[in-house]
Amino acid sequence: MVHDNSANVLINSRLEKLVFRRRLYIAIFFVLVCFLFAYIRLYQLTVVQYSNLFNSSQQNQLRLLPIDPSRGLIRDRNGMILARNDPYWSLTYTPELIEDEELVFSWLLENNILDQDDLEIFKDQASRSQIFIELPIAVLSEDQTASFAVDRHKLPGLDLSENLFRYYPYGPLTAHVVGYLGAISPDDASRLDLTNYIPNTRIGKSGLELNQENILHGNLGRTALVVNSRGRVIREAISRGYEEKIDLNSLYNVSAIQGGTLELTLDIKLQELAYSMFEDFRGAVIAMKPKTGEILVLASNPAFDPNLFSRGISQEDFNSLLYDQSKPLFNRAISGTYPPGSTIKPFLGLAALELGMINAETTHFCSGSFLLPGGTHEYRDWLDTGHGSTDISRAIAQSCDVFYYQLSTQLGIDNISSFLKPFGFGDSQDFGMGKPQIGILPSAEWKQTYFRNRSDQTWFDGETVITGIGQGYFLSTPLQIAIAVSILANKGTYVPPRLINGVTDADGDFHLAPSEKGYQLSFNQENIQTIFDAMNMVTHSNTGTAYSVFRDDINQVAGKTGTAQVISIAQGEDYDEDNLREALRDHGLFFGFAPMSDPEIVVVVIVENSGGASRLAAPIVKSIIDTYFLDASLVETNSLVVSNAQ
Amino acid sequence: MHNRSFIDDFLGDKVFLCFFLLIAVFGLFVQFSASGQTLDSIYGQAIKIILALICFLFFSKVNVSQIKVVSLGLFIATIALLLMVSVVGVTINGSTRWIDLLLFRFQPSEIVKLSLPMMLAWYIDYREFKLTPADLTIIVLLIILPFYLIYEQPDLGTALLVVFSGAVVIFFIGIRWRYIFFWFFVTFSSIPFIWNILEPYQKSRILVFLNPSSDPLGAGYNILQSQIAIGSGGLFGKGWLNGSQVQLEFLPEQSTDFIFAVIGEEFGLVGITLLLVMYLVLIGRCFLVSHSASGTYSRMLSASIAMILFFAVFINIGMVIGILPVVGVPLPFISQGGTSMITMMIALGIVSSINRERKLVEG
Repeated sequence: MVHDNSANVLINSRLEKLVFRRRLYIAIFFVLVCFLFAYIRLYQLTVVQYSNLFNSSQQNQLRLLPIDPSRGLIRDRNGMILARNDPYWSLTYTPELIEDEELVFSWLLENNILDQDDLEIFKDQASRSQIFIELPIAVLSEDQTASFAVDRHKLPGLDLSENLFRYYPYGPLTAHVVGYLGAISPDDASRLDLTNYIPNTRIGKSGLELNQENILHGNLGRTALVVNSRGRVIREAISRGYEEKIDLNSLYNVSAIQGGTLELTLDIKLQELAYSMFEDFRGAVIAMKPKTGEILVLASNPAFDPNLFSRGISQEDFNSLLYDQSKPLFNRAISGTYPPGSTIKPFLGLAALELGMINAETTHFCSGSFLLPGGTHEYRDWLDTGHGSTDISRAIAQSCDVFYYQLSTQLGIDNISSFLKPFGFGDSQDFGMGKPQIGILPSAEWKQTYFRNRSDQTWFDGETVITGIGQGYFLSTPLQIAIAVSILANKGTYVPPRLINGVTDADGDFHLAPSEKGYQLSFNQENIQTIFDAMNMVTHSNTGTAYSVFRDDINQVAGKTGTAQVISIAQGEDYDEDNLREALRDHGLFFGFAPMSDPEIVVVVIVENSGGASRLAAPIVKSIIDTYFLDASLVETNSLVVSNAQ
Repeated sequence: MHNRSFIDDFLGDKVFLCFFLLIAVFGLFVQFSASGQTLDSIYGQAIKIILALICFLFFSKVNVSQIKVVSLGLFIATIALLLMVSVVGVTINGSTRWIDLLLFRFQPSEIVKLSLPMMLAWYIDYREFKLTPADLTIIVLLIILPFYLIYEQPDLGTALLVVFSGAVVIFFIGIRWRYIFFWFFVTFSSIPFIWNILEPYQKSRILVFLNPSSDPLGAGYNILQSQIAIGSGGLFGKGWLNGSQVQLEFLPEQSTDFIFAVIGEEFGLVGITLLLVMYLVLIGRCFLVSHSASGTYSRMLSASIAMILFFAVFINIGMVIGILPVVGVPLPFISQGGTSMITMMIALGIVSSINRERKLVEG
């Protein structure tokens, strides 16, 4: 075979087989190089980038589902539940599981779960949602839940989902102490660690719910769900053996830690009693154990039903609370500031005794009015006829004003304020509900900083005179009076108030709440005894201002009445004449403690516009103290019976 | 003359047989995992494997000379079938590739991968290696005709494979390097022109290939997800039926073009290596037969078949692991699709037959 090589496009046709084999080797080489190249890439993916790509595959398939912790309970000192979480049922709709849409919709209408308008809105919402997402339809009443249970087999695609809402069994009785819940507002967002919250969580808005949010809320848990490429949840990741590959326990699966249970010092029975006695008056009650600082009663009337807030309060309901003239949302016990009135007299009496300005025998003549030396303004006693020659005991027992006008002038404002300051007036400490109002402990110095106008900054002697009967600039909260009385009852020992005894954590372990440090005021015990005896006369001397209430007292109650003249609250509050008259009536104050020999309980009551203390304030104090000791003796009797039986 | 048993004859080349069965049965397991763990898809695939096996056994019995004789006719027939597709073809996912034969659908373009090199090998053999530039033009036209018909379906992947299957024949007959470089030059200089005639989806595939993260939820999704699948499988894989990318359907086209990612995710680099070794054995075996084959036609055809198998494997894997742009090319013997598997097994049957004849001659 002879070929014309020049016309041939091939290299050499005669060496065809040789050329072919050379090309074959090139091809084989090419194939091997390509495989090597692919293999390098495979190595890069499976070894070098392994952890990156493995994480990507996890991120693809895992969605973190937050698990809401259940909110901690709140209990009183005897374990009575003041706040708990109750289940409610809501109906959900999963489009892809629905077999007969029309049947479902007509069932919803028949059972009044949705009306026609709501149904149209819902249909529109459902049409725009992913078909495998559970859509909430509505919250079911008990009856509706029952009828769903009956019809459920006919209604595939509908399901119940259980939710919790906050329930306060005592309603208004604990409204001010415990507070209520609300949705997270933009303001809340800045103070909360939002990573610990599901967006629709309801958080504390007032009282302990607000101030103990960190304890009550608990810790958000999370679980990993496996989803497919369209986002449909396939299963919980933990259920299948992914544990070996990823550390599910630390990263993807964290149990929710339920909130701690607040164990309060409050006694809901006494609290209930306090509220039952307010009649329709506004006011506040504080009862505490002076030795331990435990608050037994913290009541403010009128109150409101905090359950209204649990699932979202209507604007209408909220407005009626907000604009109610009696201010039911206002916690008078720790935020209401009132002139202490005559309840300040035992303290000032002690001041004068301690400073040696008087002794137990020192008398002043009360003619019914008092004039400052060289002055013309007549300061009147509540008793126009005057008390006559009055010593400190009578001045307290009969609440003689002229004696105190004299005394405070003698003491001077600086002595008064520096003596009262360690009793807690003009200051406050957070005991779990935020910082209470501090009121005003007037002094020359205070006046200088309080008023901007220079001409208002001068302290006048006349102002000292009325400070002596707890009027003028003097303002204190019922809590402050209770604290001051506790110190007095302790003969000088200050034990800070406690409302939260401790916290029971999710594991059931009780942790005692840390107590603030108290302090000791040193007084001459004879002086203390003089004041105690005087306060005993208030309740037990037939001339005492509260004798009528305490004549049959068996619990050695000592106390002091007070009448706060209404100034601030009366002004500009209400122009209706009938109401104006009522609003101008004096506030009745009373504090009592018992037994006088070794005080166990202090009760302070203020009833706005109720007139004299004996009208309502003193009876409330007496009831609470009587009930407190009756309960204590019942407990004792019971344990006696038990120990006898053994 | 020779002392091989009837069984030996019947089974054809046992290397092809064994490794085909290994790959195909492995493929069944992968298919089961990739298609929602349902047996339905497995039955169809198993029937195709049996059909492919019968074709293999049949063609390994046919003499090379008989095959050579039908080369021209087969080519004309496949061109006719391609024309038929454009008229009565079945359209799936926007491309018309199939002819419905009631019992099954049949994809003529897959046959072209074999009939074109057969045609070219025959033509070169017929011209007794006296190839003028006119012959070369004819050869190029013979390649361009089926390429165009398949490209129009549209099926760029198969069309390119067809071009490659023709080009390797030209390469193996020993065309002068200057012609090769000339065609490289022509191809590269026409890139801007080719770019303009590409469909928008094809353009985006190429752009995404160059930078997959440019469009992670759109065109880049396939590539990223398949690479995540393979990479997350690591060395040993997540285990059969345990690949999250597969089972949760994050992988696109996971029972067809992207099935290699399933293997990577569930069997790891080790599984991939074993599979690649099996493919290399098949390809190498074809090269080996080609190396010692007697006759131009036999040599050309078996070498071309080796390269066709290689291209099919490499283009598929290359696209899944992101070193080549996405073109729809199935993974031989594993991806769903019967025509491809049957064509490949006919091809291996022919190589087996070539090998048998060589042994006869040598024996």
